[in-house]
Amino acid sequence: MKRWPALFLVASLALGARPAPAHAWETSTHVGMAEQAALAGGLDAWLRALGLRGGLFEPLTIPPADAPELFAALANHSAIDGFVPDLRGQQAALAWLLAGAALADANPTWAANHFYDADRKVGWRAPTGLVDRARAKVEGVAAARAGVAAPDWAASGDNPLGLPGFIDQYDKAIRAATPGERGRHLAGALVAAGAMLHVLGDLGSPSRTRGDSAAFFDPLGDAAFAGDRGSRFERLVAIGWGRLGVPAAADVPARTHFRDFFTGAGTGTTGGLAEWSAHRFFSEHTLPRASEVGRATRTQLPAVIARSLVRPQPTPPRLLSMVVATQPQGTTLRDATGVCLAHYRKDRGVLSWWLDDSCELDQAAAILPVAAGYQAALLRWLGRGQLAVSVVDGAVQVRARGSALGAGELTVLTEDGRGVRAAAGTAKVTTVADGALVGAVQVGAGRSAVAVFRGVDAAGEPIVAVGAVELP
Amino acid sequence: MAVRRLCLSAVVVAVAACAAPTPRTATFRVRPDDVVAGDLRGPYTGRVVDGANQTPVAGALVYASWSFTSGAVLPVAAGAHDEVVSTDATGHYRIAALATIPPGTRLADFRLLIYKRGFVAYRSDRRFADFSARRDFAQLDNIVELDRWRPEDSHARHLRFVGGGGVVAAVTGWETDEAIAELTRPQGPQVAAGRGPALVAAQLLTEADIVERTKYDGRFETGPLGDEPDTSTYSSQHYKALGHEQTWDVAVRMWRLSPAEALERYDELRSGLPGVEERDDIASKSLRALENDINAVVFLDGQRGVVVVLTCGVALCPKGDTVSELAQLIHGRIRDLWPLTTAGGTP
Repeated sequence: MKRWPALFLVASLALGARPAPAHAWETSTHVGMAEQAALAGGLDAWLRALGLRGGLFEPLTIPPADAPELFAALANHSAIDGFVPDLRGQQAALAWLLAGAALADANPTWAANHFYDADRKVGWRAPTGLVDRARAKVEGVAAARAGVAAPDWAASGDNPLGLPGFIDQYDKAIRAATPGERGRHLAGALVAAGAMLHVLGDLGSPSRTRGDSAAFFDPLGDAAFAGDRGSRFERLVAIGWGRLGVPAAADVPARTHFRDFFTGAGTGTTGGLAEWSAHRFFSEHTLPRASEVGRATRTQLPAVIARSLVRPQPTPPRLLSMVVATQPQGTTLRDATGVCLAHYRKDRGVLSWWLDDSCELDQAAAILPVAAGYQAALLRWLGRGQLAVSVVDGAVQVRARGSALGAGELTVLTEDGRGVRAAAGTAKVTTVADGALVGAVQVGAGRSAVAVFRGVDAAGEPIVAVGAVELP
Repeated sequence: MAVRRLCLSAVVVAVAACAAPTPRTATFRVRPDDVVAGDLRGPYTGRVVDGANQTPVAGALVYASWSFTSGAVLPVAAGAHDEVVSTDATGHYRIAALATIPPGTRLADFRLLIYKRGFVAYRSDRRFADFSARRDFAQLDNIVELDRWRPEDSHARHLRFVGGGGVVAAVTGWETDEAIAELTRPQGPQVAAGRGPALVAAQLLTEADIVERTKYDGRFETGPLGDEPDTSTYSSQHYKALGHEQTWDVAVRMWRLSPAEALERYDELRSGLPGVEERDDIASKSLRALENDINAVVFLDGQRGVVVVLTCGVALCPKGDTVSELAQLIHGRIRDLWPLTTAGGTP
């Protein structure tokens, strides 16, 4: 019998199994969460503050010839999903954000970077069991062995749709000379923002934050050997909510640091999303192990259950209802808000645990608003940079608005009647308190003056801050 | 023996894995009255009707989209195939079955969008009202009842509902300005003032009314006129004679305004229309007009603040009297739908 794995491996070589990515919430779920995040995160007001009168529905164009890889990836999706531009590369600003949310794992090598084990502080690790690996090989379900931890990936310069990429595109969306160039870069910034929402949103899925890589090898379709494998939980969510059915975002507190949205200690939603989902829910392969409780006394039972836990949290109550657990259908463990955490049953002295569709749908109904809430908070954080701009004695004065600024560079641009911008002056900035003067620049004729600061905020986080004023 | 059995098992596994990926099971039924799951590949057939009066909606955009995935450990999007057709004169649509599935991909989903200006769009997977899952879509003999667009409906929400892409954007482009305007208003879309019951032009005249008075033996395609969408103050209905020139068409345009505004609107029409003959034989005021082989009757119901323009081509209504009869009928319907108290207010 020891030859089984070897035979499977031989078969897989004959099949030429190719690597396939480990993926996220399905596309429809990601796009739906990003849409809710945009609605709750003030994207419409942010875009209007930039001078885009259409807000969420402002048409923005990326010429397809400028970004063939982007358009090749978008071509894999149906236009009915709401983020596929027309042949000219034009669609609404909101749709570009959704495109980013859909495309964050378009490159298979990126998809493994959307995991973060909240307890072990590592990213994706493929299952190490020989049987799992052999089965995966045979079915063409080879996955990356390891991935970059999601919080690191979102902030990495190696990630073209990460925070550095966003800052770069957003800065160009203000500084570029022509309206067309600015629109193109703004669309690019929104794609990057959407992709970051995707990476963050993935951490709402408990299997991604509990090191449960085996959950992504479960069969999805009817045919057991058709290679249709992935997370049943995430498939259920896609079927149950789709894009449009994702519920409105919950209210999640603001953060100072980018990483704090992803991971960090705290209670409820004051910590990172990874900790919230990892410590509040089980996942399919991190349920408590079956345990012999038949001879355990009432006082011994808590210790037996504690030993069965694969992860320290969530912690079942000290005394589970063993009487109802002996029913054939078992009973349900719920959290303080009534959300199903798992079912359990005592049969012939063995306590066993499982998740069914109804329990997972119950969990998803609790997870989706919170995950979208974190995303909305991140979106507000990305657009937090504001400047107050005024004209005093012919000079444009720029002040920090809403928050203090750290080191960086201020540029003041003038915009003419055709919407063409040109730099009028720059100034190095060290540290500026909220409301304090960032700099003053003499400007020539023009319709308006636009100020852009690129640097870091008072917490040392990258920021682009923007403001504008009509010139007399 | 054991080794042979193991080898055989491996071969079975290998063959199964070599086979083309199996399409996923459809989440919809094959027919409305069946419990069997449909075939994602199709074909798809159905009929689109106006939810207000069950008349067929011709010329509606029917956008069909198949999605493919590839890979495993959760699928990655691997393409989409779209087909665009429109409903025929009887409201029917037919979408041929998907001919081929791209090699190496799995057919994962099928969705259908139906769009006609003046109506709320229809999706096979979701409902517009609450974005909840639609459970009544069927692969064959599907019945689609399009709800009429109401003034309180949100264009911003509707644009999110219908999705994107070039084909859809081409027909929904006019909604973008409305959506932008909505988002700039403090409290979303403007709602009708609430004076009187809801009225739409389609309630005021039926195909049977026209056939009875004109003896026309053909069929009509019905729906809102293409000039302006229904709003809180305006509603229209077009009865387009199939296979005939415009001179066989009938159209109803109705404005609901304050009494003063309604009088002003009526006066504008009186001074703007050609060949006006003031008759004042319907409602508070009425007139007949004639332009380019189109007979028109305009009347004002001053108490209700309603102005109606009824037009009928001379091929169908050679005499102005026929148009007046239809206009009388329309005014009767308005009175039935909106009875007044003695004080002139709403009941």
